[in-house]
Amino acid sequence: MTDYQEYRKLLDGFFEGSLSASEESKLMNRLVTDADLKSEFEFQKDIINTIKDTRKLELKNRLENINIKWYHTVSNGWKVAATATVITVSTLTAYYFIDQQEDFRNRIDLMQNEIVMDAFDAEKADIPQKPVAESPEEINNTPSTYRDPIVEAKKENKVDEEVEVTSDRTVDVIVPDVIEHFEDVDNIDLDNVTSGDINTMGPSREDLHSSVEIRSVIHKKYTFHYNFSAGTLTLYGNFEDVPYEILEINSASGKRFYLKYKDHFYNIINTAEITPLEPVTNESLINELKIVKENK
Amino acid sequence: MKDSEVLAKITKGDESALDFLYKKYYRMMTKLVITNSGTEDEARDVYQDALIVFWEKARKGNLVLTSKISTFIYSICLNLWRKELERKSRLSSEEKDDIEFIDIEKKERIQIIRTCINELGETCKRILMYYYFDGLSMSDIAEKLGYANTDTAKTKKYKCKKRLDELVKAKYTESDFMD
Repeated sequence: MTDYQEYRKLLDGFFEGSLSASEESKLMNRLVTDADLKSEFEFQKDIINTIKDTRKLELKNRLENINIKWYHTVSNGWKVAATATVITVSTLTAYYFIDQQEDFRNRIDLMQNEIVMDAFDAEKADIPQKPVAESPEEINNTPSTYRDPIVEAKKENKVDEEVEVTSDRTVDVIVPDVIEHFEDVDNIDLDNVTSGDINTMGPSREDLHSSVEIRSVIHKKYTFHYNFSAGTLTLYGNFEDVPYEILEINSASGKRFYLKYKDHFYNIINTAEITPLEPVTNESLINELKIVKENK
Repeated sequence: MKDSEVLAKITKGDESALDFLYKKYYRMMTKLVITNSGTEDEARDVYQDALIVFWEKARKGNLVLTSKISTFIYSICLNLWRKELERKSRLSSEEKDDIEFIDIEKKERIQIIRTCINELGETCKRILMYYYFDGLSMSDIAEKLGYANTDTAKTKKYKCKKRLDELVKAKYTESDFMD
């Protein structure tokens, strides 16, 4: 093997990465003094680098041709966070409304008693007091000796005359659907509630667990919008930087949804159209939503 | 797809793993550039380059991941974008003219080589790319390109490289002559 052939072989080995340290050192020393070999080295370097660049370009073209959708769904982390928020808020809200309804019920009972008390006030009648039930069982087992004054009054056709409610005493209370079977409610495990259980709880609580699919979309035109249909809530805009929450409120009039984003609440209504997100302006509603959020 | 599965695919030379990574981290990686004075095109360019660097490293088989793939790619993006910003900054200085002069000569030479690579034909091009860039072994190349055995692939690679050298030398001389 001639001297040139030997170094030419070393050159090939260098670009294939198969040289030992001593062989590489030998080649490098020779390159300093041998101009022809140096020229061949530069030539081979350019060729191999261009082969590599050609392959890189091919891979880049491959990536360039991948259709990246103009939207990106929310990362799983956000989805989990949003879903967990919806479920938690729904569950706690359900508890909240159960308590509210019980309050309403108690308040109505109290009001009825109060009205009756007023009606009989002049006579200072000794009205039997309704025993306070400590448990649902006790409600159902209310002693039969107890007589509801209103029922009794009705029986005696005295209510219309004696219990004449004046206009200023008329209490306009929107009564939510009252749970028919109170004992069932106490035993319901809200975490494992089924649609069958929900139905027994009345129409005000259709579903304690959210089935809402949430996704966020980056869109050139719609930067702070949403649409909500078929159980899918799509948020248009950059919702990935700041955590957001969806509050699902089970009210007497049905489910209501609100978006909590940064320091504001936004109305979410059922609409297939892409709609701008409108902030909630009603102060009392904002306060209620804050309470619900803080209590979750 | 888990990180280990992605790496396993890359080791086999399966380019679909690259597609998967590209789609999965597109937003995360491009955002890095966009939020650091880059345009969307620059962001895409940097991300694509970073993925190719990752592919190259993973293909060589000496990549030891001590973090998630996304973290690794993110750091490559970060470095590439820093380099790009430095390059831009240099270009805005007085050295600009000299660099451009050197670039023109080099670009010309590279263009000749590129033309020759394309003249080789698809098979030769693939063999040389798989060998020099992807670092595929001769047996892998034989399998990928459907050759009977490793020796056939080896001979083919030798002939392709020789032909490319000759083509480039011929064209380069031609080009010198024309100048």
